[in-house]
Amino acid sequence: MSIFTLILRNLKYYRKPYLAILAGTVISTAVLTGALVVGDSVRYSLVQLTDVRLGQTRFAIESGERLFRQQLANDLTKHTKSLVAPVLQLEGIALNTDKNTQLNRLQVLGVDERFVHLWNDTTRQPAQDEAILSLNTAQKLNLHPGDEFLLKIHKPSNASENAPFVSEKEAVVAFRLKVSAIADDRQSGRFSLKTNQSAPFNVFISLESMNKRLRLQGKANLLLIAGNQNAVPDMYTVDSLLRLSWKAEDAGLGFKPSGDSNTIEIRSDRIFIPENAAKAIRESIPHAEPLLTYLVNSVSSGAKATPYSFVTAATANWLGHPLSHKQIIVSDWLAADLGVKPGDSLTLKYFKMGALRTLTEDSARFGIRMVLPITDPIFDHTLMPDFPGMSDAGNCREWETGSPVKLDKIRDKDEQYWNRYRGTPKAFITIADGQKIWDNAFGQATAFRFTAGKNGQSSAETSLMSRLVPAENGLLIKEVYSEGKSAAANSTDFGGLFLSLSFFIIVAALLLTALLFSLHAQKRMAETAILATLGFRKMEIIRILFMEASLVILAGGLLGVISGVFYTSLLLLGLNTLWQDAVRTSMLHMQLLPATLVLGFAAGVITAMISLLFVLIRNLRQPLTAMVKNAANPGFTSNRVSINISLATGLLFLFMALAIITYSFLARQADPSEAFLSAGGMILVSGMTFLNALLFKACEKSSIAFPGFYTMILKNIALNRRRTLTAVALLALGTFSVIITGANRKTFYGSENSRSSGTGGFLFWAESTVSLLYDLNSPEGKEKYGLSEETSLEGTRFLQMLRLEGNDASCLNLNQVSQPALLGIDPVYFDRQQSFSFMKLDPAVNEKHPWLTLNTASAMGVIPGIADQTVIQWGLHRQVGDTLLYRDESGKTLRVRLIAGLDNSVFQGNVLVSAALFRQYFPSVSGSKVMLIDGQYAKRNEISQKLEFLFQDYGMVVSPASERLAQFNSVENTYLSVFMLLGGLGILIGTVGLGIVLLRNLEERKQEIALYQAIGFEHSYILKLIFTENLFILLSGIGTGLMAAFAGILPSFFSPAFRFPASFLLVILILILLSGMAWIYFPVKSALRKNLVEALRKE
Amino acid sequence: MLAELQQISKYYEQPGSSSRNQVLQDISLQIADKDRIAIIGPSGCGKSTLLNILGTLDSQSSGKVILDGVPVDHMNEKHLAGIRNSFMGFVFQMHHLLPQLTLLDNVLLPLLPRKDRKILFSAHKRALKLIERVGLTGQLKKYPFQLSVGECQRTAVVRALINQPRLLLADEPTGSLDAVSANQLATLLTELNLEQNVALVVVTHSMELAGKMDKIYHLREGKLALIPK
Repeated sequence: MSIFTLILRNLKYYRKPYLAILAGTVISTAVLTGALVVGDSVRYSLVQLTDVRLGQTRFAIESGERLFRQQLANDLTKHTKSLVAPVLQLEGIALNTDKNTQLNRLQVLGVDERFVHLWNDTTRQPAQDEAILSLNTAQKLNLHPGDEFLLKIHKPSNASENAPFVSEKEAVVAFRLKVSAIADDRQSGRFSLKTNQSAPFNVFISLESMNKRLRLQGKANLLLIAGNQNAVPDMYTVDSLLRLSWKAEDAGLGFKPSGDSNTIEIRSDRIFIPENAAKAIRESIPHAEPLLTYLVNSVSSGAKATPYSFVTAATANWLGHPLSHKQIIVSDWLAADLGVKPGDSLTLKYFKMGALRTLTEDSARFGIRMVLPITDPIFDHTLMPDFPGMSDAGNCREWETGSPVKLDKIRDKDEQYWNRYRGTPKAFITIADGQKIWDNAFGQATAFRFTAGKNGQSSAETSLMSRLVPAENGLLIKEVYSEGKSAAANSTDFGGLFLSLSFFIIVAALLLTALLFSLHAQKRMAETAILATLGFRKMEIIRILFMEASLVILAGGLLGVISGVFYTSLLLLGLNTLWQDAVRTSMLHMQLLPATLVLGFAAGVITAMISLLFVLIRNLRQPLTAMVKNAANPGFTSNRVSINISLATGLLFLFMALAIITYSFLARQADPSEAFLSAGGMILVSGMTFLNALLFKACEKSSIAFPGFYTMILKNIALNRRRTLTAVALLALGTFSVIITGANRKTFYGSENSRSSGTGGFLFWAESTVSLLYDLNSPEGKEKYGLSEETSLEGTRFLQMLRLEGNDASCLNLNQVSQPALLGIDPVYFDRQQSFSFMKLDPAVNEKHPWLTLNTASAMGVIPGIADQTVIQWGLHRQVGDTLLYRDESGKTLRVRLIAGLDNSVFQGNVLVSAALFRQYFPSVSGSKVMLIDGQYAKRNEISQKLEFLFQDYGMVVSPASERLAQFNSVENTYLSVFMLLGGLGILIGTVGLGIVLLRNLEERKQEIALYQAIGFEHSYILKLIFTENLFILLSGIGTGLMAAFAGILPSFFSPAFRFPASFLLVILILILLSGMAWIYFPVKSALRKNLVEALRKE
Repeated sequence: MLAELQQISKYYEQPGSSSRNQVLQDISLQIADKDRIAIIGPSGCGKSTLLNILGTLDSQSSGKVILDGVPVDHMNEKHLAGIRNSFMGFVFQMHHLLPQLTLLDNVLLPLLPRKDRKILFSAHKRALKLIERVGLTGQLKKYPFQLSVGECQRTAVVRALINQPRLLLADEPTGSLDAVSANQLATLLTELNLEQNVALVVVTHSMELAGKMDKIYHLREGKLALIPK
């Protein structure tokens, strides 16, 4: 007989215990493999989703609210030899009036046949007056092919609506469309440039039709560049080819002759020429003269005033007349009107545009240098910029300037002037004075003029184009495909997440396997001793037993990997359905990578082998004589040293835990949760060592006093001290993890009004599709939007925020995001209200007024930012103190330095910056689409209904701030649910462990129980005795876990946003208790039913 | 009469067959106060089964068990446990001392369910006396694994007597002892029979032990026969 035969025979004979060990290994390997496969599957699905989302698109050129020529797509195609699709992408509102459904913040895409080619789908193209809807849009609006719906689009304008004198006319264009088809995921239904697994709501209409509806001509604001089959272009190549293809018009610049044929004027359709463009003009055409023409409210001298006049700032060179600082040249018309002469002084009063179109009137005094006749060539009516709503007005009363015009101030002579001279400036100041007093973020000139010879314009244009950089002039190239793939590949590590979520179940399964093997090894101790007496060395015996167990473990590992695949499919099914809150998609597919399966197998097998080897070596340390007697040493020895060591260790851990807790409280750590969690772990260890000491003490107790019921119980459970401690440890760990997760479920009932909570105490979070340009708290804003008369809105405050669109970095997005949306907020308001709570602060931040630090920019191009700590840590994989890189409106790098991390808030997914600094870097972001609303809690329903009604055309959705927070919390709560489920399974394994310990104890204690019967103990008493023993183990486990968990969640008790979910936890505890008691009661009851008398006769 | 067996029969159904294995057949036995009875017979003849039926640890197939004039056949488990606890004591071949308890604890084990402090106090005094009587006073705080097998068995005898039973049932009490210890225990049992006024029924292979009893019965093929001395 060979050793292998012996092993096989052993395996056959001991098949029952080995089946249990196999089951333990299968569980731990399956859970390990499952966690790893889930990680691969989520990553794989997200990477696949990038293809679904982008089709063949590799690069995108976006210009946001600015528009360029559709023709640019054709020009670019010539150079790239790739398909380039022009798209007009805007936000819209869709209404199905028949079904009374409305959808806001839709992505409306004007596309042509080139777009659908990106998905190899040539069959579906939106025709005139028709629309193709994405599946989710159709479902949400309850629309089917053939149905009609109303679409409202915010009309784009090259001129920023925030810029001075730009009117807000025709902000929304509405038209009816017929649904021609529904685009699913294989077509372009999921098209989005945003890296997000959530499906966007898309409406596709014909690009031509969209241009027509919006009264635009051949415009687009997005180019999608497909990958070339021969070679995928890189970013540098795309940029170079774009520079070859684009024209000044695409940067919003226009050349036209002015006055005589030798003078060329450059203007911007943004009215003010952006600084980058101005710089390129200055560099490429050094002799071009800047002109800045501004509308002043009045020009006055003494009591006399001329209302609403254009004044131009120009160089003396351009004027051809001497002009110095604080000097002004006026027309004879103005001089006559005001009765002034050279040497007199006059005052210019003019508006300056602040945040949300708040106007402040400023003034400046000038000395009259000279009076020139209005026939002088400098008095040129074409100097007036093309203000929409003004340049085409028939008379002064038709002006729509975007700033208030007091019509009663306009005199007949002003009307006559307008009729005769239109917007001809009435005065000139130096360009330096003009740029100083009319300083704004949009530009320092409204035109450049220069003289040129023959072909001067084209050569100037060529020269200018060589200096203009697309990225600095609104055309941003994005490597969307590779960025999307990279974001997906670096997405939330579900493998790691599920490994940590499954930690307890893995540990429980391993402990159970070790426990089973330990019991098995103990049972075979006599056999082991016989082998030893036959001349086997200890190492050989260990090798035989280990090889036996290894065969079982290897089989278990193999079965575990197979079970792991099924377990993964269950987890993915859960994530796609029940736990969709965590992943926000139903498109997760399984990805089986051989390397991962091998890793899962190896990890499962190695961990099981290590734990078994540990048990084996420990058991075989006993002397041979003890083994021959088969567990003759019942572990029932004790000495003072053992007790003292246990007590000292317990006290040490307890004091360490208390020290950590005390320090965390005194040091007022921003985020003490980790410290408290480790304190909880220490209390758990401390509890276990105290129990160990108690059991040692029970062994030691041998007085001549009569042993009481409880002493008897302690002595009984101390008999198998290690088994008892293993069972208690399993239960304590399970209780600890379940309570920690259960108590950390995010609930905030009754705390939603608290300023320090995640809602900041605000009632609502509102988002609109169309920007609100005015301050809703100001009388003008209230008047403008019809809020003045609404008594229900009295006392309601609006905190409007500016938003730079970006990727969602909240937990709703699984992809790793590098540039989350920026929100410009008013830090003073939050500071005054002491809104929200901080988890982490940069050392440089003022602890008492952290919000105010947002207003202090440390250097040019660097601004401070605040985000939710969870977003910083998990969404961005950064930490407080790190910097995020953006491109500002002028194409320059903007660094946002994260100075603080907020506790979970309604801002999740966004980075908060000061609105004032935001405007400096993104002046064109028109108005506000996001706001927080403060108001009376009692009137909340009335307020939300009224606001949604008043802002219906703006596509405003008003949702309770607490609801928004709950949405974010639902993600975390879903993870916690998964954790609790897995933790619950772990506890189940723990109670199975308790059951096995009990069954084994009952088996070993047959004679003891028979003796109890023989000496006349009633069955009920024996039941009580053994039940109480095991109840003690159960309660010790739960109690130790509870105490540790209490320390772990201590910070939550002091958080105003925390509400202890007592009933929830009570239910969990009762379930654990009932399950444990069932595992005790039924085996004991069953054992007592048997006739044990025979046991008394057998050794 | 202290205890009486009337026409006791015991059989076991043979698994998978209609035949029965008859172990005891119409056995009658009367035990008076202070009797000393030995039951001998070959291995597997049913001696222990008979003792267990008498000790209410097993049930007969037919016949009656009368203890102190009261039939016990229809008594519930609670009553039977009470009888075992106070009316009789058991000594087995193995001492069955609990390893987690000291010698004294083991002796006092039968009193564990009692709550009456007076009873407990007097039992404690009695235990000390009995332990002294069997010569184990110096071992009070020792655990079973620290005692010899003979000492353990003597402790088991004291445990059986702690509740002052009127009937002591011993199943091969010397079976696991060497000759010297077996002889000492046999002597002890007979002495205690007199000192403690307790009737003694011993099931044994040992003719030496049986010889110390007043009556010797032989159990053979299910029948019990008195062997004249």
